Amino acid sequence: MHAGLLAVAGLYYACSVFMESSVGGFFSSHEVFAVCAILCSVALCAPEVSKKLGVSLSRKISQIAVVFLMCQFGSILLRISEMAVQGYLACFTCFLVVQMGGLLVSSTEKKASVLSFLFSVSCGFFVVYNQNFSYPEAYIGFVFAAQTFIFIGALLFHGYRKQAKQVQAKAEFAAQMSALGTVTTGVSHEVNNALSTIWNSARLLQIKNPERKNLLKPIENACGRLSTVLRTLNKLSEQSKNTFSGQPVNDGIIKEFKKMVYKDIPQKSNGSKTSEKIERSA
Amino acid sequence: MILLVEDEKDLREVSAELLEVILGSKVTTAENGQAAKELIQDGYSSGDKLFIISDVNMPVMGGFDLADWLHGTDYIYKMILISGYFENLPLAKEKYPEIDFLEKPLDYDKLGLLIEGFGEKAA
Repeated sequence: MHAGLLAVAGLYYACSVFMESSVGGFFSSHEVFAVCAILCSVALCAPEVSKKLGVSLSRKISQIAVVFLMCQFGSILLRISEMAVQGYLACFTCFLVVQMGGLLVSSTEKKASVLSFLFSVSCGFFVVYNQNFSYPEAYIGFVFAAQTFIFIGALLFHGYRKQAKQVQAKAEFAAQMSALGTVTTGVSHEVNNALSTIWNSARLLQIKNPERKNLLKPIENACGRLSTVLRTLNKLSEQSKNTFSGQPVNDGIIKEFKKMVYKDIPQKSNGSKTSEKIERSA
Repeated sequence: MILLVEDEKDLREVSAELLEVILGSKVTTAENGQAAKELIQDGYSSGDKLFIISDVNMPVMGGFDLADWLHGTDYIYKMILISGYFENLPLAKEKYPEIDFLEKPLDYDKLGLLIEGFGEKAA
C-alpha cells in the first residue's frame, strides 16, 4: 500500500514539473513541488523507512504531507480551469481538499478544517466581488499557505496538548504513589510495634519456660518473616514517596517483595505457582 | 543506668522485662522523650553514665529531639535509636555519628554487645 502511495507521490511530482514547464505562472519555481513530493515520499513510506525516528514523529510528518499533497493537487486542478469564478472555485476546491486531508487525520485537525472552510469562503466572496483584483492566483496561493499553516499549527497544538496530558497523568500518578507511601509507612509503623510486642513476649516466655520452646519458636519465626516483609514494604514505600521528586520506583524491589510474599503459597490446580504468575504479570 | 524510652505501653513493659532478664540489669522506662529528659534531670547529675534506648517516633518529644538535648549536656551517655524503618539512614548517621541505629524488632544480641562496649553492666 505504501509503495502505491509512493508511486502516486512520484506521479504527482512529475505532473507538477510538467505543469511548471508547460503552463507556468502560479508558482515561480518547482522546488516547492519537489519539497512536497519528497515530504510525501518520506511520510508515505515512513513506517518502513523511518522507524528509528519514532512512530509519533513519522505520523506527524505523514499528516503534514497529506495536507500538502491535497493542497497542491487542488492547485493543479486550478491551473486547468479557466472559469470566470476562478477565485471562488479555487477557494472552495481548496476547502474540499483540505477537508479531505482533515478527514484522514484526527479530530483536532477536523476543527482546523472548519476554520479553513470559513477562511476559504470569506476569501472566495472577496475575490468574486472584487473582479478587478489583479492577481487572484497570488491570493489563492496565500489561501493555500494560510490553510497549510493552520493545519501545521493544529498538529503542533495537538502534539503539545498530548504531551501536557502525559505530564499531568505522570504527576497525578506520582501524587497517588506518594500518598500510598505515606499511608503504608503509618500502617507499617503500627504493625511493627505490635509485632515487636508479640516477638518480645514470645522470647521472654521461651526464656522463662524453656520446656515450651517448641510452641514459642514458631511464633518467633513468624514474627521474623513478617518483620522482613515490613522492612521491604517500607523500602518500597519510601521509593513510592520519592516518585513525586522524579525518582522512579525500583522494579527490583517490587519483584523481590512479590517473590517474598508469594514464595510459600502452594501450587494452584493449573500447575503454576502464584509467585510465577505474579512474576509474569510484573 | 539503662533507660528504655518507648511510647507503646505493652511494648515498653515487655521489652524492659526481656532486657532485664537478658542483661541482668535494672531497666528504667519512660513513655516519651520529655519524660526521659525530666527523669534524667531529676535523678542524675553531670558525669553519670547513661545508656539510653529510645524509639524515634513518639508524641511530645521524639528520639532525635532527645538526642539533641543530650548532646548539649555533660552526661556520659550512649544512645541507641530504634525504629521499624529509618528513612534516609545514611543522612541520620552522618548527622548523629555518636548514635547507633537499630531496627525493630530489636536484635538483643547486638544490643547486649553495645551495652558491654559502653561498660554499663548490671548493677
